[in-house]
Amino acid sequence: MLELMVKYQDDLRRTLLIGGVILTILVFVALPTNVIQSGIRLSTPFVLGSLAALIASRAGVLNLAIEGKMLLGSFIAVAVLFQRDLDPAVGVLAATIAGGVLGLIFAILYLQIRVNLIILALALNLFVANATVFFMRTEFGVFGTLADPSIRGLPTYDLPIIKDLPFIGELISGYNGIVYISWMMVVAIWVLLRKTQFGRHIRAVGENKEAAETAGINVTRVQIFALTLSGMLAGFAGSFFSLGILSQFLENMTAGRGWIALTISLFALERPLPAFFTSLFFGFSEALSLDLQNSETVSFLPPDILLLMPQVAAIGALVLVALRIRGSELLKRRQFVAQFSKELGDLKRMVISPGQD
Amino acid sequence: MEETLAVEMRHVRKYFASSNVLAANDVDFEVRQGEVHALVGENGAGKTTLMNMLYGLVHPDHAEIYVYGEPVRISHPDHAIRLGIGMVHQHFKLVPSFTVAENIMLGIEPNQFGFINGKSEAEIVRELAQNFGLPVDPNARVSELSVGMQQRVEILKTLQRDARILILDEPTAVLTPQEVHELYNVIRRLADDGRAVILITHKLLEVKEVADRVSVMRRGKMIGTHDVADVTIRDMANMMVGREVILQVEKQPATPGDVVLKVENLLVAGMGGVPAVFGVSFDVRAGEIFGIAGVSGNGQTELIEAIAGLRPVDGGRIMLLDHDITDVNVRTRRTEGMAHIPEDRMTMGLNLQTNLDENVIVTSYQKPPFSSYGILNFQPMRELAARLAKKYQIASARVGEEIKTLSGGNLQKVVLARELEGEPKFIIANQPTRGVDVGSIEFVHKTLVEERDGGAAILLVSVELEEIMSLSDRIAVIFEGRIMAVLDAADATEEDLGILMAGGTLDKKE
Ligand SMILES: Nc1ncnc2c1ncn2[C@@H]1O[C@H](COP(=O)(O)OP(=O)(O)O)[C@@H](O)[C@H]1O
Ligand SMILES: [Mg+2]
Repeated sequence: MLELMVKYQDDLRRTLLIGGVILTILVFVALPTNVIQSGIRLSTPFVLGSLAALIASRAGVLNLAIEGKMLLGSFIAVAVLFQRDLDPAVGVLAATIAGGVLGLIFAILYLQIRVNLIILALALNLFVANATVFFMRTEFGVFGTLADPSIRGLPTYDLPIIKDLPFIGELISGYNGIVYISWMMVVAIWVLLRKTQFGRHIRAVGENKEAAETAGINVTRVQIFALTLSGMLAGFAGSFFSLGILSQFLENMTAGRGWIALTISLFALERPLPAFFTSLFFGFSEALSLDLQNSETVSFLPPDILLLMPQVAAIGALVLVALRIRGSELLKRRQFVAQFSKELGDLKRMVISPGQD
Repeated sequence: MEETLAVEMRHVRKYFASSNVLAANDVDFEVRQGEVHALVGENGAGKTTLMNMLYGLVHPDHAEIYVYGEPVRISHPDHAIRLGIGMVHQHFKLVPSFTVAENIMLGIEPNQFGFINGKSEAEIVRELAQNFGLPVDPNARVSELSVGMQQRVEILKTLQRDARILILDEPTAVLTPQEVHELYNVIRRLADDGRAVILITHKLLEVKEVADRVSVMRRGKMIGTHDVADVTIRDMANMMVGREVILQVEKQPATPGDVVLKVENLLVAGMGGVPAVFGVSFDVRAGEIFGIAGVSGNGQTELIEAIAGLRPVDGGRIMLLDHDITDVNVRTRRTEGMAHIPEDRMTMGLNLQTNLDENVIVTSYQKPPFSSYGILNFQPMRELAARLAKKYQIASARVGEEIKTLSGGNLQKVVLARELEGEPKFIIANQPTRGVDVGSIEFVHKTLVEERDGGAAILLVSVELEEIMSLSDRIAVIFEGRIMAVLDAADATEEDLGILMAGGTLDKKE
């Protein structure tokens, strides 16, 4: 398997790309409009979450606390609005800030106080999960669900002109603001990484920390910025669950989607555009499994298995990533052997004398 | 009037708690403007650490540092760069996926409101390369460049930051001979421009060829600074390695038997995709000690690890008693008669957190009488440990106690006891007396000679020339991963070995 992957690396990449395109076309042709719309909606937290994960990874920190930061965002968004009759945008803003603050705390604990990354991330995820439950009970006196008529969901917008386009008009128009902003963020993060000085420093730090340091870049500062930005994106993504899909907060509302976002970022090799398309894939599979569970028609697969679809896809993605890394190591070793065996052989032929002894 | 020194470092001290090494012990070092100053010393002497302190990457416990006469405290490379110091590290510090221009301009990108101007970036680099006569393609990806080109990028990187003091850490370690020559020219030119160039190396021929002055370090100490014209390669080698009193070993002439170990055309990768062992061939016979001499860091570690089965082999063959063991696992090698006294007894040779019993059976625990049906039997283990402690005179090894309190010499005896117990046919002894007291040195030497006389084939690696000369029956000299020559110990003089170890050849002198 590994052998084959090494040998056909380019073919594989092409196949994945063509497969992706075919799959996308199939999705758009075969699925009913409402499922596609719900897929795009459901992919939004993945898009934002995977951007959050990749911006941290690009700066050299595997952000295992995305889940916690997202969950915090979902909670804060609702908690701020509770019985205050504010615009839901305020809740989204608060969630973004909260995610950013948590990202900053995470960065300082990890980079300056040097807490072990994995322990820190696990602690943070657990802390947020339990703290949200705790505050729901003590502050709001509710169990499991935090809802109130004062909490309104985000309004949806139709895009002028685009909404009147045949067929695609109804697919890419009619969502709430977070969905559109998530698309813009894909482009914005790409520009940040590719075109700006700060983005280049992030990439240098992530790829070769020592190179960045010897070039006089303040590595810690770059990483703190990146982790804060990552936290903001995650918090923003979290608010989508509680204000974008529903208008309430549920215990453990993110339900592991932060982890899937991390997987998406890994699978997309930490690049924004591939992360966007992978997110769409996960969004569609979630929408599809929801649709099939609710539909009256008997599907050819039992609904329990369909429910597992996103998780199965995630595992498949991780295996592919691992194989890819091992494959490139193998390839390096091959190249070394090929190059220097040849040089050795040439030397042998040149030196006709019997050598030592 | 005396010219101000480019760099002056006084009373520099640095202790690494994590490795318990005093890497700089009251070191003084100075460099003049316009000179090429070689800093030499064996691996681990503390050269890189000293220069990292000048560059702000490592912080000294104590130091007085003057740059162009001004007292400074350098806390970060950023600061060093502002002082006009540039450093090209032993392991290049480049971002592989970036282009040449992106690497050179890293941290000083031309930009407008944070957006990088890629065009002018490439233009700046092209101009820089032209000014210094070091042509590069600004848009080439660094990961696709040859090592020599990557080094050029590193040098340009420091020049773009206007370095007047240039530190090159073992710059020729990874270069081809042609590239080395080009580099020498570049170094000379930069010094003639009035820059101070500090050249770290452990190759003494190189010092003779390019440097004006040389400073020698050994185990964290500065041994001395000399004009290169006043010292010979031999003098420098002596200062570098130092002389340890090694007691003469009593031994009869060897009576070599059949070939036990045969190494053919071995190729092993080292750091950064460069060969560490390049086409090495030799054989070791029963009843002889085959010594490998060389300055440390010339491929000994990789060669031994490949033979012991701890590192993959990239080409060639290893035969043990006519069996091809090139790709065979460690346990099989051991059952076929190999024993290995590793270079580092603390981490590879022993488990310091456990007792003597467990340490002496780690190579045989799976066999009876030490275990039956996968369950360990403690009684035979204890008996063996007690017997070996007596036979090998392992002092104060109280049964059942962690061995970490034992002295270096006693720890080495534990390794020896375990490795030699099964009557091995082939023994690797890698630096068997490093950090061991004089009494234990004698014991180790005597034991190895006894094993030889008992018919074992022994491969000895040591950086102590005297140890190699007093123990070996034949001596191979390794330099940059190649065997320079194999000599009969009886014919080998210290002088010849010294020349070979420094990369020279013997016919040149005749
Ligand atoms: N960061 C570090 N932590 C612990 N020990 C170190 C560190 N850097 C170097 N050392 C130790 O300091 C000694 C000198 O190392 P180094 O300066 O790299 O030597 P050289 O460059 O002369 O080969 C070595 O024994 C090395 O193991
Ligand atoms: Mg060094």
